[in-house]
Amino acid sequence: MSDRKEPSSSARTDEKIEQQQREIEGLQHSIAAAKFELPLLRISQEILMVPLVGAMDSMRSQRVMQNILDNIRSAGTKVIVIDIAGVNVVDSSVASHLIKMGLATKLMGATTIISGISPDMATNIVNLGIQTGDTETTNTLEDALNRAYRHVGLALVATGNADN
Amino acid sequence: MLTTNIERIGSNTVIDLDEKDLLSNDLIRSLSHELSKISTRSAVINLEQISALSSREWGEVVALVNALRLIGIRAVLCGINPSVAMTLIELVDSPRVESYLNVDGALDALEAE
Repeated sequence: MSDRKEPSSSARTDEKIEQQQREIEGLQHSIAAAKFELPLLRISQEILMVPLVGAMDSMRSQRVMQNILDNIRSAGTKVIVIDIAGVNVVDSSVASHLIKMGLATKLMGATTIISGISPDMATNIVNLGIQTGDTETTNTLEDALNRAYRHVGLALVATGNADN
Repeated sequence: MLTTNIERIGSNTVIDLDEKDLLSNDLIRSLSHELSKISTRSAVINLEQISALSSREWGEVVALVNALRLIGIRAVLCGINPSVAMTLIELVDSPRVESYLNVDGALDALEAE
């Protein structure tokens, strides 16, 4: 005969509810993460900004590329600024994905500018012998946005009327 | 015999290619003859109707662009759909062709020059 008691019916129900709550929380995190990893920010009618944060792998690159290309087709986006300042590591694989994104957008008549390339990243890219081809790259996001505006015939102009 | 739709718009010509056209062995010769006859300044090769491209077919498109350039016609592409673009970047290292979202975009760019 065992000393262990069978859990009561109400204890089993509580356990089930807790498990379901954990599953719901897990799903909510996954949905939030999925939204976070594919942000597409519209800067103007023709300019789209894609800030990439965290690790880049093949699957994520494919999803980002698919979203960008669909956006070019549906919204007529002409310039895409991909900011990689928040990407953990830019190795030859990540660089290759970014260059492919640039080529794919070019085939659809759009221009890609990659911003957030630090001097260390630039040194790595050169040392790895990665050819960036026609892809435009910049150190700062500000420089990338200025270039993007120029591509669509716009410019940021100081008015001298600051609020403060 | 090619049944490709060729439409003259001002000093430019729009060529609507479909998957059947790309199977033809005579595509480049036929189109370069046809376009030299109508003395067009530039050609927009519209790939909107093409939903998949092999590397051989892409090679035909690039060869057509180059052949037209050789007879003095500036040739550009347009209408490449997202799935074709994603396939092409895996097939070719650097697609060195001028490409636009659609016919209007291509014609605007050609007219602006």
